[in-house]
Amino acid sequence: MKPKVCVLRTDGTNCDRETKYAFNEVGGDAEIVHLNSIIKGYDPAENRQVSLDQFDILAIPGGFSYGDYIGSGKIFVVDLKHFLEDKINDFIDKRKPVIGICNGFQVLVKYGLLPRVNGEIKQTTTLTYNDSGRFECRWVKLVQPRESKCIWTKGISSIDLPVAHGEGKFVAPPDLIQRLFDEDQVVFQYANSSGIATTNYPDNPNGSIQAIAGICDPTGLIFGLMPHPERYNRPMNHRLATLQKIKGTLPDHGLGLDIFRNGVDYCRG
Amino acid sequence: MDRRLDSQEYFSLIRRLGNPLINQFTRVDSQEWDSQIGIGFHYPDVNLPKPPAFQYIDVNLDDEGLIRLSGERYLALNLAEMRTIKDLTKDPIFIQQRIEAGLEERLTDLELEVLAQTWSEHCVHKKFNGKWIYVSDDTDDESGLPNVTDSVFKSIIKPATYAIIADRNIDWLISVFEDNSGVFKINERINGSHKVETHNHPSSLDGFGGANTGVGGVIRDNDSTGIFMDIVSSQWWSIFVNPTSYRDLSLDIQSPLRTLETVVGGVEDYGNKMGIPTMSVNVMFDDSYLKCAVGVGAVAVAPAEINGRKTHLKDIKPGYVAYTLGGKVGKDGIHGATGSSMDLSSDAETSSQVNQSVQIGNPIIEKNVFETQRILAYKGIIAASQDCGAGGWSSALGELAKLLDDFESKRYGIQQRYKYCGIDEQSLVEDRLAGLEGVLELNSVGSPFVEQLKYEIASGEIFNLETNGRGGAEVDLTYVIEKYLGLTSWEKIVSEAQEREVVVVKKERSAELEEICKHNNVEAVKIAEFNNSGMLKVIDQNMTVGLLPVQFLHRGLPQMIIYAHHRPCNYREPEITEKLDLTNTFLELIGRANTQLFDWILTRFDHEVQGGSVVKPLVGKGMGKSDAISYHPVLTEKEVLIESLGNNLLQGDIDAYHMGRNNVVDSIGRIISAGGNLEKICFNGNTLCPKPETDPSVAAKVIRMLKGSADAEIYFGTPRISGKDSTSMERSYISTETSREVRVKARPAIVMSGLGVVEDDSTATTADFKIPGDAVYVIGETRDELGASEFYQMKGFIGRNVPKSDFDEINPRYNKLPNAIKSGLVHSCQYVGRAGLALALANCSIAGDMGLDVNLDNIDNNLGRADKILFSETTGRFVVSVLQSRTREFEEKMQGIYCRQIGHVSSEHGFNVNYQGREVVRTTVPELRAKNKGEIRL
Repeated sequence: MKPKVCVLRTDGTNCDRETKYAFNEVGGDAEIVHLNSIIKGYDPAENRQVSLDQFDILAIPGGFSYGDYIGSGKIFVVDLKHFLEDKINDFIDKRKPVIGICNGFQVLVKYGLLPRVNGEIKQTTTLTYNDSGRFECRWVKLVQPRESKCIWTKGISSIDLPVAHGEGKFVAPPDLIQRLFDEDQVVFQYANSSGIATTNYPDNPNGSIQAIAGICDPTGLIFGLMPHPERYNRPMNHRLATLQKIKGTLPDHGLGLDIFRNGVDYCRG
Repeated sequence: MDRRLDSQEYFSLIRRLGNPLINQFTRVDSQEWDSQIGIGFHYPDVNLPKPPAFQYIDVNLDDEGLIRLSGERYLALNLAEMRTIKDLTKDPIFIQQRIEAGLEERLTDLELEVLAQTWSEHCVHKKFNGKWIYVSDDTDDESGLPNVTDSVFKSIIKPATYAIIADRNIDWLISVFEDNSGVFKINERINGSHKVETHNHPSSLDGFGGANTGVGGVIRDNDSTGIFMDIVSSQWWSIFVNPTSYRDLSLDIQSPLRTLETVVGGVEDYGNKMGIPTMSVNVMFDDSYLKCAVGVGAVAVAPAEINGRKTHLKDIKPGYVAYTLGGKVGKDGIHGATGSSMDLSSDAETSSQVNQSVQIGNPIIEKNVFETQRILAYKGIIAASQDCGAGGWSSALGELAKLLDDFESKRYGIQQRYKYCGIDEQSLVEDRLAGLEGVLELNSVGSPFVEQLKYEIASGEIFNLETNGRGGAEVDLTYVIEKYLGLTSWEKIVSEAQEREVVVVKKERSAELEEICKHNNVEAVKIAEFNNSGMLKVIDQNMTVGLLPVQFLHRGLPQMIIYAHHRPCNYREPEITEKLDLTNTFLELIGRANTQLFDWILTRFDHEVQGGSVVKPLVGKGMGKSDAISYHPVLTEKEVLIESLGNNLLQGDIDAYHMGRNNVVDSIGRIISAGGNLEKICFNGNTLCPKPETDPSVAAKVIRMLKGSADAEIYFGTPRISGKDSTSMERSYISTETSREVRVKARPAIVMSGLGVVEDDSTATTADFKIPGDAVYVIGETRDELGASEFYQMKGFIGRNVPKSDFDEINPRYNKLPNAIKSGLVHSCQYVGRAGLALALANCSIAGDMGLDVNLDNIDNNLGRADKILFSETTGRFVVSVLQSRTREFEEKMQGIYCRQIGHVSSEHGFNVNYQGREVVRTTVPELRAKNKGEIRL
């Protein structure tokens, strides 16, 4: 059975197609679902009933939901809370995995599903403007500080991925940051070429505190990250692929897919 | 500051903070400043007086009056055109039709505006379709141009493409010069389209708004090709004046630095928010571009067929209805189409009419429209689509009515022929087609129009259609959604308010369309119904406000005559003292505005979204510039697209014909350097020039560069599929130093955007040096061709020896190098362009973060001077690196090609160039990188 993945889309979502592709490449059965279809329980284009219950995985892809005009992900969060709070709670209570990428990460953080250290669903951290004051699109190196509890990143101690965002600086009070490390909720940190976590630009593209690029909730099922694993879906996507090819280090698949594979494999048990 | 700002200070301050044209500024005395209130809350309230729905305008005027009317209403119509309109109002049949519709004999303001939009230079290309008279003082004129060219478009550009299609038996071009963008086959399942537009006029007034809506517009062009397409790439190039030039601009216009900065912001905003990768980026500088050039392009894909229906065809029949999807209509962008061909005069900035020609973009709405249109297309609901660009609904619906009229006229002709020949539904398809000689051009290649009719013939649909040979439309503006009240009918119909798509559907599918649009948060309003009246009728609030014959609207206009006079230039080669140590010259050369890296711009564009990117704008560990980029347009397919550009603006000062040739040669060379080949390359051509009709020397350059580019396309078999001309590239300003008006006319340019289709990503190649010890080769002979080079320009000269591409020499290189790359022998490949070998070698080192040791003796070719070898801009050359142990194999592959080893990639950062036993350049990679960051930064 292929786990069914809901790639949730609303006005301004734009990484939905490649996210769907990534899940499907690793054995998922992903479909792009408009927020209104879940709210109304019906998709007129497909002429059928839709419910979040039908899905095993929820993915909130990147983009600029509603233009991010009053803060990234903010209006999307209002929509989700207002229309779907019960359904989302139910989805999480059933221990189904959730991934939020870039704008999706911003949504999960502002909803309060991440990092959720005290169990309460409430926003405790944020993602704000990059230190550079600009949108930054570049490849970064990520490392896992310790094997985190995140089910999405098993076996991935380090990975190169592209970032593309204007608001990706992870900010939280020092004690909360410490707690995230203690509880193994820090999944990825930006690192320099030697694999050491760094706050130096541009290896750390946004100035995130403690170089935090991705975190998970205490269950390890809900994962959010700023970099885009779906954009490393074939070997030649890597920015140094032509060099890797010559050196014989070109992998046989796009390594970003490993993250999606972990999610799909988890559902298969 | 404890004194009042004087007005000079105030103006320079607000100009740094924003654009006085579009931003509002309030001046508050520090004594009165309340930090609690700040500047207060300014709600952008639009309070318009309630206007009459329409007015009658008298065109029964003498010539002077007609010209005055054209000027007063910003119609941009000339006397002959105004007279043609005047004549229409005297046509008794037309008068009768008007009376029946309840209109007076006089034209309404709406009708006049619709005619002006439809006949604008922007929409009908009067200049390119004019008659060009060419006189040459050159006894040995290489261009081969005849004395009279009846339409440069129909006699130079189009025939080149059709000649290539015929000569090379090309079967992968399915739509050229007909639809909103050219369409080619990526493979049997997937079509691709490509179109590059310019948005110079609005960007010169407001960089952000102009560039932003330029991107929005060109992607709509691609989206509304056939029934829909998915946009997979956004491209941008610009030509600006150097921000350090023009110290005497008046304070109330956008400063050149701000133009650059805001254009970048506009491109970034639209592409990033739409989720379209912006990879191909070229920023160029020339001080004749005070009216800046902003080129925006897009590449799109669609499945070749959906449920057996070809997606690149538009179908439209009487009874079909048109819906407008997306944005609301407002006062922004009124007169954009006509305004773009009017002078950007020194007082343009104060003219409120022209201010309106800048539109306001909202990418999120456009994204919603595209997603929804896609769903509708997959459900087979859409029969045709058309974007609202220049001229708004006036153009979109006018063009659809014209398309219907053309279809109906052919359908009628076919039916008549069939009656005459006795062909009916029982006849074989071959017989049905065979009988159509003289009625339908059955052998047309790349014509979706003919293909649609053939489909109707083959399916038998043609036998069941009722047609009187005419097409028309009834447009109803009553229910369109307005941004605010107070718009007149004519403003609504010509407004270029953004993010609107018109889709044509069968009436019975209206309800489905409406439901799907609503579900996807897209506003959809039925705006027109097609019929066979032959008229374009416009209704607003139950009143007829316009009635025009479709054929008159699109009739042939009096042909413009353009005189071109070519005088060979009289520049000479400069005498520059040869320096023994060229290190400083070298470093200065690679940090100039036209050679610098602009990584700070490239990283602001999301070039990774959609997950298909392969060769990025910045390549290698050291992040050097890539002259070509590549990507998978469809993730589930193997094919890769490569994009590149060719533009050697300054060469036109010496010889525009060769500039045209070189631009094509450069663009192809760059595609090859990224792993492409000559198999499947097509072009978009963008012409930029001051008004050719007023200056025969400009006209000569234009026709010569067009001929040059067409000659090169024919030689290499790389057809042009679309293009755009901007023929009013001039701007005036009042100098603050002399108080005189200064007119700045842009150098004519033909920007060639190449697009290559490659079967997979296995040949992808980048410029960065990869392995220390690799052999460095130069492919292609270096000649004494420094005319218009970056080096001469830096030294204050133009020179005479412009590069002249030798096709017969270059062609074998373009054929063999891809094979060497395919065999995996080439570790890095860099095309040699601007600033010659100097920038090429420097970029390979910067990108690879590895130095080099090279000796120029091997490629001297009797040039005898290191500066000439390093800075020559001879076309068709490459720098490649090859594993030292495989050099023999490489040379065998390149047999018969000029291919010389000049040294090695170094394991250190030292960058050393030797010539005749001495060091001519000695520097390091970090130094190169620092200099290459350039002089223009923000």
